[in-house]
Amino acid sequence: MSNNKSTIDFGFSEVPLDEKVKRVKGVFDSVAGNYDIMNDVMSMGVHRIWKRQTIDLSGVRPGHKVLDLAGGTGDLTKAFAKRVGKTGQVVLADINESMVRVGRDRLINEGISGNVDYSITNAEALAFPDNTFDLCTIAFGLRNVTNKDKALEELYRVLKPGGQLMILEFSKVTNPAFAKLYDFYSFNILPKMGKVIADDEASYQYLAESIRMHPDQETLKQMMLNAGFDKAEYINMTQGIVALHRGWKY
Amino acid sequence: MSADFSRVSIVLAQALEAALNQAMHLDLEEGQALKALPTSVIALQIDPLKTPFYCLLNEQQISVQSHLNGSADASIQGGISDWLALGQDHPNVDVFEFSGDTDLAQRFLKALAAIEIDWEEHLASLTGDLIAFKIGHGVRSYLGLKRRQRDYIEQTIKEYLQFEIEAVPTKSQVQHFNQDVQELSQQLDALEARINQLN
Ligand SMILES: C[S@@+](CC[C@H](N)C(=O)[O-])C[C@H]1O[C@@H](n2cnc3c(N)ncnc32)[C@H](O)[C@@H]1O
Repeated sequence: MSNNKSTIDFGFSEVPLDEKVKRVKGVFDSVAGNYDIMNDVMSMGVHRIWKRQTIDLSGVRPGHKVLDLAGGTGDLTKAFAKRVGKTGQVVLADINESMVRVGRDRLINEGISGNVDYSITNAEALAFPDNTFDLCTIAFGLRNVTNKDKALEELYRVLKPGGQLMILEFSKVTNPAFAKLYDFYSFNILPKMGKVIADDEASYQYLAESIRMHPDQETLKQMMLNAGFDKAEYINMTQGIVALHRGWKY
Repeated sequence: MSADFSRVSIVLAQALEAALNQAMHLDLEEGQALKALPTSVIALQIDPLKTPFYCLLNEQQISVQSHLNGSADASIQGGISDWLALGQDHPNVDVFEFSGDTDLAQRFLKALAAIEIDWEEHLASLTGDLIAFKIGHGVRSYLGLKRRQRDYIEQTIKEYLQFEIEAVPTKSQVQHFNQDVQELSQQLDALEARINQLN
């Protein structure tokens, strides 16, 4: 990143490049670094399979316009950019400017450019016209959105007729025995681990709770229908630790 | 509730994708033939599998997936043994059926026949993922699981949640950041005051 400009071009917006931004970058540099290491270390990591299934089921093709909402450091954006090609377009949108910045740097480093735009956008008020995208995705992001109903309405609005929304998110574990193990892990082991690793037991506890507070499979499906989707369905992955919800606009 | 998707075909698609891209980026004649193909989608139908693999060709980059919105530009159909025989020295490409843009389909199949795919290597790198996923999926009762499998699940969840935690700034990270910003602005105020005193 160049420091001799007072603003930096950021896709749809210009943001001032001041000391604060540098500070934010500092914080998120460490996040982004960890993120990549995590991906490498996790050769048996299931999150890649969850994402891979999402990509596969999307049916995306050259020329498509894709919105990767709450895109963070751009895992899905990267895969979609390769698939939609020069004639298509992917927008990585996230409410957090620093996440977008780190994501953009990472993708450019990996040679992904030309068909990717970056946008700092709140899911509750998307900065895109109606009927813009063939596909919208939000992976591990909806849980963090305050007004989920509003976000779903917005996603419906920006989808083209015939377009598809895919929501990948933690959900409710279906098998009771597995649920017991999962609960024990999240409420007992995880916070202790958090204490050792990050000296931050409370945040890890909070994470486990926020996952439980997210609407379960059927509730989220109903919320999608209420938001206007003409068809909605879901697939459980890994016993429902995560679910992939899909909604269509006709 | 569940939809019709097969994890195995997704893993195979991933292996095929890795193999094709590797072949393309090795500087061999065969790879160059793949590079020369136009932006398009080619369906590979492997009988008796119900669903085809779709190869998305984009500027020197091939993606493979088992679902496609709309229809492919060209399609190649053959029995599983015909596809496997492609890797042999003198494969018979006449046994395949082509539809759609047949010229494109034939060029693609020729390039495919010419490249050597080390399936073992590509599949091996993916089985770890698949095993991890399957174990999570196949659990009926955790009490009945062997100790090793239980460790495996715990490890998988742990790694996932760690990943998730790293990707989201935690409350304390945000607090630290806010604190940093506050400190910085105080320092700036102090600096400004000192500069003002100089004047
Ligand atoms: C756990 S990360 C997921 C990143 C990426 N999708 C992935 O799966 O690797 C959650 C992301 O959601 C973003 N986010 C949270 N609330 C949001 C909102 N209201 N609108 C848009 N993005 C939001 C965060 O900034 C963060 O980057």
